[in-house]
Amino acid sequence: MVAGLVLIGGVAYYELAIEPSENEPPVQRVIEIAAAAAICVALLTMVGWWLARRALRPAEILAEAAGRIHEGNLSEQIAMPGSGEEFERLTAVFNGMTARLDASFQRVRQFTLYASHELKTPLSILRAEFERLGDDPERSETDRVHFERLLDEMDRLAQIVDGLTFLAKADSNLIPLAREEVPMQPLLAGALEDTSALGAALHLDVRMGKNDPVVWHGDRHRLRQLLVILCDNAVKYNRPGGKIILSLEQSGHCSKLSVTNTGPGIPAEDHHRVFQRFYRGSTAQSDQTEGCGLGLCIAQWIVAGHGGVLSFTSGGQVTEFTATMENIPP
Amino acid sequence: MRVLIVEDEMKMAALLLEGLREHGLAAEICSRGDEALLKLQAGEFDAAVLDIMLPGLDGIAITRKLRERGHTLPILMVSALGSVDERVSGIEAGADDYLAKPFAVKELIARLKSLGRRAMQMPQMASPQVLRLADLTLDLQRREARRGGELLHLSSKETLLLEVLLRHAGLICGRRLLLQEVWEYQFDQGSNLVDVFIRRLRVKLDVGAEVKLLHTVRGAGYVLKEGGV
Repeated sequence: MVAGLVLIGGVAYYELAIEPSENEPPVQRVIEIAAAAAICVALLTMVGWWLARRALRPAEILAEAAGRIHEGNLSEQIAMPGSGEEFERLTAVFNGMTARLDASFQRVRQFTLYASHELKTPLSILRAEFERLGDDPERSETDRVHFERLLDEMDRLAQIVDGLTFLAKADSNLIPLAREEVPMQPLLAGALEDTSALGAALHLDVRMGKNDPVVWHGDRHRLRQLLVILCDNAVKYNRPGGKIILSLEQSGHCSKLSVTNTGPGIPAEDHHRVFQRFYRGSTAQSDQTEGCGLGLCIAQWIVAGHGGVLSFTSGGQVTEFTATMENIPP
Repeated sequence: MRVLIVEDEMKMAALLLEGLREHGLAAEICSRGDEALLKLQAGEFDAAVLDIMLPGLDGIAITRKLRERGHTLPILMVSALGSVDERVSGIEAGADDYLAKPFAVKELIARLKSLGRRAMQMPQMASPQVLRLADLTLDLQRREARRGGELLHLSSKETLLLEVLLRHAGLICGRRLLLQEVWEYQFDQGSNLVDVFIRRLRVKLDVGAEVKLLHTVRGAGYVLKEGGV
């Protein structure tokens, strides 16, 4: 086709420019030659542009593919363009790089999974030993109280290991999410009762705000876990005598679940760290048992796994966490 | 009751063995899955504590094979893999109970005894309508609890908590067990929900009563029983 176009251009040029035509005045001839030249240039430009685009297409494909890559799809390889040695090599090098990255990400995940598994056995042994020490009737009451406190710490360590295992599995897409219709109102009613009980010691006023009949498609256990995390935090980071409001809101094509508390809030400089692993805000109560610092990461994963977004606003003694989910048409 | 402890981590196995013996249970250790299957099939044991990750044959496969061949002995599975899926696949394979590591040895023994007791009662008689302990009664139909004839005003969750404790009367119930059975939570988020509800139940159940029934077992959980721990 290219050859054809060039041929046509060439023939036109030859006919117009080379063949002498004696009847025509010179000015007319010059115009004709100029027109023929213009046509040729235009044709050649188009052909050149088309050729260049065709030749650079593999580069574009490569750029697009590179843009799509993130830690979750490193194992995908870019197809070989089959158009010349240079691009074949570039693609191969690129694929090699992502494969190496993929392998190192896999190693990190594997490590976290194995580490959490390997940690559990010594933890069990330690726990059993301390349990025996704590039960030893020959020991003083003070000793026994100490051992009991150590047992609590060991349980906390086990929770951290559990949380890390969960997140490592989540990173590797190893946590399946059930997809069933989950009416959210009963879940919130349960959470309301539990949160009231948890907040009683701090004289918290726990109540329902909006209570629209929201139904989500998802995993009941995980959605309950999400609620537990958000409500637990709302108690932990509240002030004595404060408020907690749970609400379910249907608005247009979205529905929202939110948990609001009246704690001192999250300082603005910490906002970007809230969903980071092991971020822990300072609790209002110093005697509170510390959490494992992984709750909000897990909560965020659960919401994202359901195709939603977990966000928060904090300021002026009010902190609100909101899970927004797009409604799935029935 | 003779128990086979199937665990390849020798220290853990030794601690379990000691614990079981202290509580009057005869026990033996086996560190390989394939050997354990042969021993359990021979019928010399009344119950088994099975780890999931084992050399030779894993705990889930052992359980499945035993059940396929008609062995009904109680199996308590223990594993470092504390996730819901592990628990579910263990129970589906035919295990009677599942404990995630690290567990309180006391709770393991309590559950083992409970499994043994259940196995003895087989075939089960019609389940009772009223659960009793000393002067405490719980009418399961009406969801009414009474102490010394006096009606206790319990919320539905408190009633459920009391029911679970009564069903395991005399046996220690760990926090995870209670979270699972009362709240259906398959995870422990480190919340002190259980402790808070136990405190509430205790106020309604034991305050002012001469004999306390609800006791705390340090580092292990709670138990409902007459007399001290």
